[in-house]
Amino acid sequence: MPLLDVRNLKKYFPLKRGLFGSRANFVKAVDDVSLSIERGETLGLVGESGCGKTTVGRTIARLYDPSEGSIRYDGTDISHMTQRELVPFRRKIQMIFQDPFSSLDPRMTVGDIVGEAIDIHGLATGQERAERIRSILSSVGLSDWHANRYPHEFSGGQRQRIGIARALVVEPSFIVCDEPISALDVSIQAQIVNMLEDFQEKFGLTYLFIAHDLSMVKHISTRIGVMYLGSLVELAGSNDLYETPLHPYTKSLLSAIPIPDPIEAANSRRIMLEGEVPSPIDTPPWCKFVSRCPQARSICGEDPPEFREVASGHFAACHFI
Amino acid sequence: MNRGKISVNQKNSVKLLEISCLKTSFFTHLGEVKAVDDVSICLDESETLGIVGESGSGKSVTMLSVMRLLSDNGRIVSGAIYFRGRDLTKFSEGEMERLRGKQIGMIFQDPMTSLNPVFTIGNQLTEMIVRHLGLGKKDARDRAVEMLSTVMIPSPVQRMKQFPHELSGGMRQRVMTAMALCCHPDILIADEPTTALDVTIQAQIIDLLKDLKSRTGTSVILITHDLGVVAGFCDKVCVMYAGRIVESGSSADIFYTPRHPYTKGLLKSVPNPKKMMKERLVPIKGVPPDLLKPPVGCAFAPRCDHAMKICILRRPPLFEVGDGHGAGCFLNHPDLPASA
Amino acid sequence: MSPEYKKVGPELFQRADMTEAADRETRPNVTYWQDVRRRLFENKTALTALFAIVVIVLCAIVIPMVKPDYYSNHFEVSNQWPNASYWFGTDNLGRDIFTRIWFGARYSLIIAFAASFINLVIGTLYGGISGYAGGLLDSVMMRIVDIIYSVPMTLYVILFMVFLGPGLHSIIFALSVSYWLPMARIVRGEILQLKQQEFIMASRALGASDSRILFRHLMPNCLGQIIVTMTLSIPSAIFTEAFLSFIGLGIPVPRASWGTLASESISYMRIAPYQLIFPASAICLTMLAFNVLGDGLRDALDPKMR
Repeated sequence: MPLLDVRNLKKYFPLKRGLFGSRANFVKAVDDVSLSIERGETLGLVGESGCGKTTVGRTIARLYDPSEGSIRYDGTDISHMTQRELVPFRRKIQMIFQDPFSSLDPRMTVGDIVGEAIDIHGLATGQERAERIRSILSSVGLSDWHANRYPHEFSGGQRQRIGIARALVVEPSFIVCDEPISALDVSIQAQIVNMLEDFQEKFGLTYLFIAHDLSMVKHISTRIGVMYLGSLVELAGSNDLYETPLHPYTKSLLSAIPIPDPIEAANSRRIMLEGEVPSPIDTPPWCKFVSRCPQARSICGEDPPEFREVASGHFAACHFI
Repeated sequence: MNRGKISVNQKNSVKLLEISCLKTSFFTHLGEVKAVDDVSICLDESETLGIVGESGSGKSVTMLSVMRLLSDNGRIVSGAIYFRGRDLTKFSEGEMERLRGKQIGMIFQDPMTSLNPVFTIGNQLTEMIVRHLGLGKKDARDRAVEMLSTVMIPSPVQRMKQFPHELSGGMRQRVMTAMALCCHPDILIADEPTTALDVTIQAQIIDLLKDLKSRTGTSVILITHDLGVVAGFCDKVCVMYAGRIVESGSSADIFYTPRHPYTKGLLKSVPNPKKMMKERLVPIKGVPPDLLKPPVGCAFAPRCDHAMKICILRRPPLFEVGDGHGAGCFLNHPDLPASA
Repeated sequence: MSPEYKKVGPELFQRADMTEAADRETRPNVTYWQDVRRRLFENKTALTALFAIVVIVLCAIVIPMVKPDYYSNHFEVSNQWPNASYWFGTDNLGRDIFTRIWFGARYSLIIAFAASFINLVIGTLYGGISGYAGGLLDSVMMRIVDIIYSVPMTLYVILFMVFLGPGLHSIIFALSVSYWLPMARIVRGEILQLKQQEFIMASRALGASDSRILFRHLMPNCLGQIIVTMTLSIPSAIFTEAFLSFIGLGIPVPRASWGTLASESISYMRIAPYQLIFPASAICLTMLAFNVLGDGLRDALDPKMR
């Protein structure tokens, strides 16, 4: 049984809702996503901004109520639980956020930020609480005296460590990492990725790793899912996806990765996508990628392609595979 | 032989842009922050220069000093910036205004905040052309439309009537580029032009810059933290760290024979997606120094695996390690014993 | 060909131990509020205003205790210009204006502080709940605010006068009804903005309850705005009281508020302008001081200034 099993997840945000103005327009942020994550693996989720990858993560962490579909954690359906019922699962499912500047409360000391989790779940008090904070801070590479400091005194990388400490202190088994490195400097990114890998090994953690940087996702993930306009277009083992991408969108994403090698960069051929990601409000009932697809033919504008298993463990949604 | 040719060149021609021993500081209530500390950069005609560094390395501040667009508490402390032989630090504000946009164009990371939200794209472009080129309203409009199509914006005539918020991030960055290029500047400074954009859009913008460069012959200075963007684009690369240039050279020098531990570390800390086997990343340990109290010696020494006693005591100069290739690290000192 | 570099002895090329340099406290530990205080104290104008307010408050407390007679008539000394024994002169009934002004200050300040306290409690709670709940509840609560707003303040005062009789309590009640509205709107706006921040998400992901998020995270982060709004609402409360008393809806004679003093003196403006000048200046100076302080606080609390 997979640790996390998401079936036909949909999350629609109403565009406008007022006392008198009720409109039927929705932003289809997540539109029918199914995936499962095995214990101890890292599933990478990539896509451009607005593709719904962050919404998937936040819905799985139940920061949003799903519009449709089910989320099973360790066999229990948590998709319709109330906030109160969710509290025990909050210890199991944690989240690391993208923006190291807005994800820490500027009015709290680092000790209190990390300690909040301990207080909420009543894990420890007094001396034991202080000891726990100290030990978790040291395990993310921060010192004792950092606990009395305020977030604005830290650099981006250190703030991200604080965010990781806050997630880890409740001893979760599943962590949604929502672009944890994209706001960090290159030399710091590798530190954070290595740290996440170390914790995964040490505590047997399972990650959902959301990012737009394909090379880093490839490095950390066991499998990778590619999202476009709220849907998964391809899902495969990370080497598999990188070596034999099937969906035209994946191909162009891969070819757009900047290569830190002048000769290779000069020789590489890019598959340029025309235009930009369309708005997720009026998504077409046929293939959503058709407006930018270099291989689009008439059938693409008629039927939606099925998300099917093309090779063993390799799923894709395109008519021409 | 090659070397002789260059020196002749140096005698006869004046460099397009020459930054010499520039020091720029910000004065805060906590003290002086030395954001740029003794930086020298040269740029020739139709050359592309990449300036790579992390946040706080001084790469943007260097270029803002060139444009004289520093915030109120920032000041050029010493050094000179020669543009075609004339020192920009001595220019009056009025002279700078005429120079900005006309001879040196700049595009910024966030195109939303650098466009005025209450005017249409067309309005802003036309106004700029009228001001700098002295064209009539009608000619300026035509030129604006032409510029929009140069940066490959589809249906430019319609776009002229749109407001910045009606455009996507990629489109806005194109408009900014069109604006920066409309007076045929000699230098285009692009400050992290792709950082806020998606990968596929980023690739589009870089290709656009490449294309524009080959068509117009404008020199481009690309400021970025992404080594990958630099590799495919720049002739010369400067790596900055804590307000100083730690290594400079041709693109090939920097990527294939880096001589500074920081450059090496940067190259090693990005994963190579070509590798099938998973390898552990090699990060640079520690964090960049506090520029309020920079170390006496080499700023990178506290994070460096090869730190020597001299690194703590003295600042390394930029050692010449090859033709046009310099590295600011004592490991390149000619007196370095073979055992070290 | 290669350039000359300063000679370096081989001993300097020995490996250095960098471990002890790695982890040290470099900058002093500054909390947000210490930072705010520093910026406020650097602002000399605001500091002067703060000083003026402290002086006014102290005088309003002490002077009436020393000179408790503000009401008895002394016709033999009526309408005296300011002199050594009557610093601010006397009115037509021979009462010392200096004493009456400081009694008036008590009324004005009590009303100001009462109004801002109510402002703080009701406005913050109402705005906080409305902004945090969002959706339908938010819409309903904000429409209620609009409705209360649409009735002029004078009408409330007259209503309370009719039911409770004129006096301090009517003015305070009237102010309570309508003074918290701007505060509620500002707090709601702040909360709506803060709610989107990731640290709120993080707290929710940890299982924090609504009240914890509201009182531990959202409110402390609004505190700066709340303080500024409160400080800036004080002068308008003082002015409202003065205005109401001036038109005869406020504190009844023989008690003296600044508005009553100004109102009484109008008839003698030609022969004794000082009777108007002193209470009017008291109103102006106090309002100015609070406004300047409010502005100073806004600058000091603004995170963009850091």
